[in-house]
Amino acid sequence: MSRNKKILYTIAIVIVMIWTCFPIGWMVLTSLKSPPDVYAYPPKIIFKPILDNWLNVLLGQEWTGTAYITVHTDIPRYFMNSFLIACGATLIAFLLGLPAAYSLARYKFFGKENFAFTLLSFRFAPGLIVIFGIYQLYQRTGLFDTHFGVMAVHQLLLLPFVVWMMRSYIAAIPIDIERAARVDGYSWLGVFTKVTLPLLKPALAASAVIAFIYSWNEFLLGYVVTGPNARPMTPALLGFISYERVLWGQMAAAAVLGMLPSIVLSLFVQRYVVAGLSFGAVKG
Amino acid sequence: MHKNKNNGHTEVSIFFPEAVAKIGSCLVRAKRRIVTRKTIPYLLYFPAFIATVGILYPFFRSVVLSFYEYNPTYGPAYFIGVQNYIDLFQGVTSPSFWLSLRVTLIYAFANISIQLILGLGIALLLVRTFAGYRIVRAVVLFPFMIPPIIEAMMWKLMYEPVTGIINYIGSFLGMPRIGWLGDAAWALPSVIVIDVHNFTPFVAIILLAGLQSLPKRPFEAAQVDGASSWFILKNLTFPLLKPVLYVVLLFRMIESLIMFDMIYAATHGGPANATMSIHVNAYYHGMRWTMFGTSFAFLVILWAMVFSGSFFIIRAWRKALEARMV
Repeated sequence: MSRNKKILYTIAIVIVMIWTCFPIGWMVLTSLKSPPDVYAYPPKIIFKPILDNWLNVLLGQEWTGTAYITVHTDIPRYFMNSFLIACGATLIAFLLGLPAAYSLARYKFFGKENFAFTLLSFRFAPGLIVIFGIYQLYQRTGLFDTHFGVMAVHQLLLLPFVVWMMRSYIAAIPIDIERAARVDGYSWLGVFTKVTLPLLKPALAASAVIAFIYSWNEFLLGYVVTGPNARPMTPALLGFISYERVLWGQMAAAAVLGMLPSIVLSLFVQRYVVAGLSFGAVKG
Repeated sequence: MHKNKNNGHTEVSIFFPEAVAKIGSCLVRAKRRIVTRKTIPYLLYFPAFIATVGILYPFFRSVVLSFYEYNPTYGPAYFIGVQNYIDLFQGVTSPSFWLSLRVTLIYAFANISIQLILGLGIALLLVRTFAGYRIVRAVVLFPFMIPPIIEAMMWKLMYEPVTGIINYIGSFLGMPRIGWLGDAAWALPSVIVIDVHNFTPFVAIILLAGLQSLPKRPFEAAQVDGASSWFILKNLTFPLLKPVLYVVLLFRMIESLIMFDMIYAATHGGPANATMSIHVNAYYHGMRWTMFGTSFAFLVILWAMVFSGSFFIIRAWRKALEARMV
């Protein structure tokens, strides 16, 4: 590359980085501002950072100017809800999806591709078309506003993902390895747990992490089937912006808290992220 | 459940003693093997199948109810044929179907075209290695990992009409103060910008993987021949990348047609219905006004749009894959 080209190239990268990071950084900054700084015009880039918003959102401690008073905060509870739901939904998706993926990858059976495609087609469906029926069912059976209820509806998103991802990874393991183990006297289940599963471990971990992120980031399904009890983080955050007067500082703190798990986790699955995001259609 | 199946098959093997005899002396193992071979794929698929039924049932129920007048506030559902759809096409629902269709199509088209161009550009930038390229690749993906709802909040903060940073930066460029999400003329483009920020990383990262998997040979040959980089991009990169482009197109098309979270969080479909997409409109008809029949008619049409769009893209994708194999 010539010198000029190199400079242009660097500028382009810098622009991309600013475009990517500025909105995120701005929200992090806002979460550290005191109310006068938040509403200051022109907007302040340099200010005295304070943790008041974070204390308010996390611990329910509000600074009145002279002392801390205890205020009500639901954010830690919603955070735990989201965590429980994402873990549970991921677990259920694997309990249901892993055997199905193995079956699709290793056997020929009647209607196999139809099953697989039906699962995939859940991706095409607007969430509401399925969730209204489930909402009414939940109202009747008492599953409304329960953690399990949300985990179950998240399968709409996670199950197709897990089945298609794991199917492509299982199919990539040569079947001869399993046959050899069979010949060596392992039972069918023994082959799966002692041979196939260890080979799948990295892909399994990565898929679990991405499934967790999907569940964590999901909004609409969790919004419709929950009330104040089992509400996950994402629908709860909506409460911050429907008020007449928006508490930008606290909203920013809660929002940073809400996006932190997904971003941190994504760093661990860099290598698998491409295959994960395209349901195995593109291998990274 | 499991136990019953096994019992069933023990009986079956009694009915076919010759099959058991063929395998040899160890009867128990043989029986087990027959059971395994024939039924294991179904047994393994069974739990996922139940979940599938659990999802398909409410889906078909919704499709059926789209032919009903169904408003639980006023009474039980009764069949009215295609009246809900006629209402939609005559535009008598409020907000009207045609307005929603327009919003949805503009939203999807703008998103797809902007994101594909920007994403391809970023992928071409990042495909080279430079100092710290790994960090840049990881960071570029960040916005995609943020829930759309938080993306909307992030941008709402910056769009803030009075004290927001965007109007402040705009004032240096001589722009008047704009209401962005609160201005009927600007709301839809503003939401599209949020979507672009949120999902371009997805396009870029997938295309980057596609670029990295391309064969090296043709590119080296073209460079030796002294082809311009535009020529290489147009005649080499683009055709070879086609299958991956279709995958990205498929995902972006589906997700922008059915996008709900971001629009709802940013504008609630307002102002003056400027961002009332089909999905948001269906939400209002269903959840707010309990007009479920109408709501389902909206959703069925949206589903049909997504499905037919996907059908054509998948067909083109298969063709492109085959063309590359040859």
